[in-house]
Amino acid sequence: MKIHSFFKVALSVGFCLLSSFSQAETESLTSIPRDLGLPVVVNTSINFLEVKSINENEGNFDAIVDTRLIWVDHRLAYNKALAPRGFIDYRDDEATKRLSEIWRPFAYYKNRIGDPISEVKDLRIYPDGTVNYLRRIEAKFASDFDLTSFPYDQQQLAVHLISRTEPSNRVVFVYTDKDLSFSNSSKTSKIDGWDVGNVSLERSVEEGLRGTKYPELTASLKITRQPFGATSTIIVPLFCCLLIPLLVVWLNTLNSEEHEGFGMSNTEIACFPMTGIFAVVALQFTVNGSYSSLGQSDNLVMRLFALNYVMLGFSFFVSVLLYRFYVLKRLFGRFVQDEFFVYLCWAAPALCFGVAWAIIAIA
Amino acid sequence: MALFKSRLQEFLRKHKNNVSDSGASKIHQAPIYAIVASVFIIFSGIAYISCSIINSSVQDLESAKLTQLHKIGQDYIDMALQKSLARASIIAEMPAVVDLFGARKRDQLYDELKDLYKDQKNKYGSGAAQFIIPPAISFLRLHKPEAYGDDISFRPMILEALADQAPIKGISISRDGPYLYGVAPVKDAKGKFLGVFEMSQSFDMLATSLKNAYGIESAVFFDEELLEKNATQINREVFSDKNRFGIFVKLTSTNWDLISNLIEPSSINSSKPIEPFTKDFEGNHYGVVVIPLLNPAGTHLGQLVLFNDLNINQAVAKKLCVLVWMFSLFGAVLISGVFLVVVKGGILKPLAKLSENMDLLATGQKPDPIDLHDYQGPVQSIARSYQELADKHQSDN
Repeated sequence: MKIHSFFKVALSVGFCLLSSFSQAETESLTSIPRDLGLPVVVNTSINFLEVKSINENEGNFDAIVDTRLIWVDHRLAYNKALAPRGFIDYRDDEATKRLSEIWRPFAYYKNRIGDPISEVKDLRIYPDGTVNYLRRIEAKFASDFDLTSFPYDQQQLAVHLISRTEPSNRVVFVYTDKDLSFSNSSKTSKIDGWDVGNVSLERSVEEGLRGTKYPELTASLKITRQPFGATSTIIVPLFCCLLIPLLVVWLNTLNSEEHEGFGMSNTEIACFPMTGIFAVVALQFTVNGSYSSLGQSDNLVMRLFALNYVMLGFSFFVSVLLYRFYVLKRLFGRFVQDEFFVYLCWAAPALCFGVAWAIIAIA
Repeated sequence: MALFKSRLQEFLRKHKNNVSDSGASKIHQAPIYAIVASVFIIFSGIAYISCSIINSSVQDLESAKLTQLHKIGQDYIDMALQKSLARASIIAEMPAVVDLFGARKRDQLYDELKDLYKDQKNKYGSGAAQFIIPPAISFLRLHKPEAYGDDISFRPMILEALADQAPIKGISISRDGPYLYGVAPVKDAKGKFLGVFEMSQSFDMLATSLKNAYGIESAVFFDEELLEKNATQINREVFSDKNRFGIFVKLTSTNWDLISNLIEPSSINSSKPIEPFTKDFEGNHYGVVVIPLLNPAGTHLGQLVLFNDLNINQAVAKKLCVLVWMFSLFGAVLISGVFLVVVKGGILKPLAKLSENMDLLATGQKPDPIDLHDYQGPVQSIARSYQELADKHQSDN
């Protein structure tokens, strides 16, 4: 009985020792690898597999994104003979389990909104200790859209990857030409209303507390808007609206026998600016309904709207001061009024369309 | 047809009435239009010259930026060579190394340095490292210890270092490929020359450093024939079709997708200095600088090509030019307006009307009555005199 108890105690102690040894080994593998020095260099690439939708008004986009992280941890090196394929592969749950047993860079998607819709993981460990972790997620990402040049604009759909558990003196995201090639390996073929460009990668750091810096890598997919739709529905109507205030000068005539030198009276002319205001307000209402973010920033469309309002204001002034109160005639006589009217007929459109051209050219 | 003709005549008559009311028929329009046209031409000229100056300034700025880019590239090459030489010198002066190399104990020498070399390679991007004994025999390659004893007299830099027994640095194509080398002599305590030790820096590290420090994209090309002939142990993947670029092969690059669209083999295929140039791609403006890679003997081995984004300059220049043209248009239109309204409306037209009335008066016809309020300034006194004359003429009749 005593012998039996002795063996039982010895066995328990043995198990405890084994378990603590095994735990210590696991803990050591989850600590940051230092054999190549710090910071640990993580080769990073992000590939946009598919962009499902772009929501400019909400400032986000839905995409399927592959993220590849490669680092070296010599503690994971093993005999080549154990991996006939050249690596040991883990998928999904297996990969999650294996990743929990080893050190890995905790890379978060800084601009991801909510949980991913789907997620696939693939982990490969090579005999020399190189770890290749590929993660595919479908998720919604927040994105800033710069609409200054709308609808002749280019946008960057960005995915920001950041390590907030390890600062930049311990982990650094880098990329090489190979990583750039991977990021552009399977180009998103088509996004409705957009032409798709290349993916570019950029390193940066996020400032933390007490001077801590967290490494960040941004992958940006360049997209160019196909301008025809917005040009025909917004820009062309805006240019047409610019013509309405000009009718105030174009439709009137000089006639010394009627209306103090003008062919038409103020009451007949004043309806044009009124109509113009309704037209422009209606157009702006429609544009803001479709592109709400446009109304909240300084951009080409808003500048053209502003020009429309300025021209409507101008037409009101012409209608009231020139046609109603005959200010120029009263101050300087009929000849000056006549000449000023003739001058307005070509100067007003020249300046108006000159400014409109400049607005578009600058954008 | 008759209806159309009558309508046309009616329109012309009405139009004539409208303009003749203000006496415009008497004004010689040509000088006025000439002045207005001159105003537009002058402002267009000012805008054109301003834009030319802006573009010229931007080009100067780009040129300065490209010169700076060239200098940065050259400095980085020098820095990498200096680092290689510094590392080689440190190792060449280690007493244990001197002793083991002097005794020609290859295995012990490797054991002494293998960990140090591994660290240098993994952490700092060091490339090939080799001990060489006269006349030009590889004694030990730290990066490939199993390969030794071969003749490397095809490398002028090694021959020079062995002959001068002095430190030397430069780009060289070894059996393992091109690197940025520093070669230090190894001498024992008595000053006896034992051989040389070379340490190198990879071009990958050079390109990565440029990218990280300045965001400069780069590509390194080497003459395929020289590489094929000398770098017999280089990874053969370098010679793959995707790396072939005219007479060169691409050794490394930071963004090949972009770079391959910016340059053509002909644009870098010259042993003479290539002037920096600019290239547009996908709406972006890039500056390209080509730095020749020469060995210490002056042989042209390849090219380091650097690229920098110059978009900001172009965007600013474009914006400035648009604003200059717009303000010029404003200037021309407003000055023309002032001239037309003041000179034509305030002086010429009233004078023309008075002249017309004077003609009627002189020929005994009854002129139209005038409103003195329509005449301003000096013309008003003439109008007043005319009015008095007309009144007197009417009372005489």
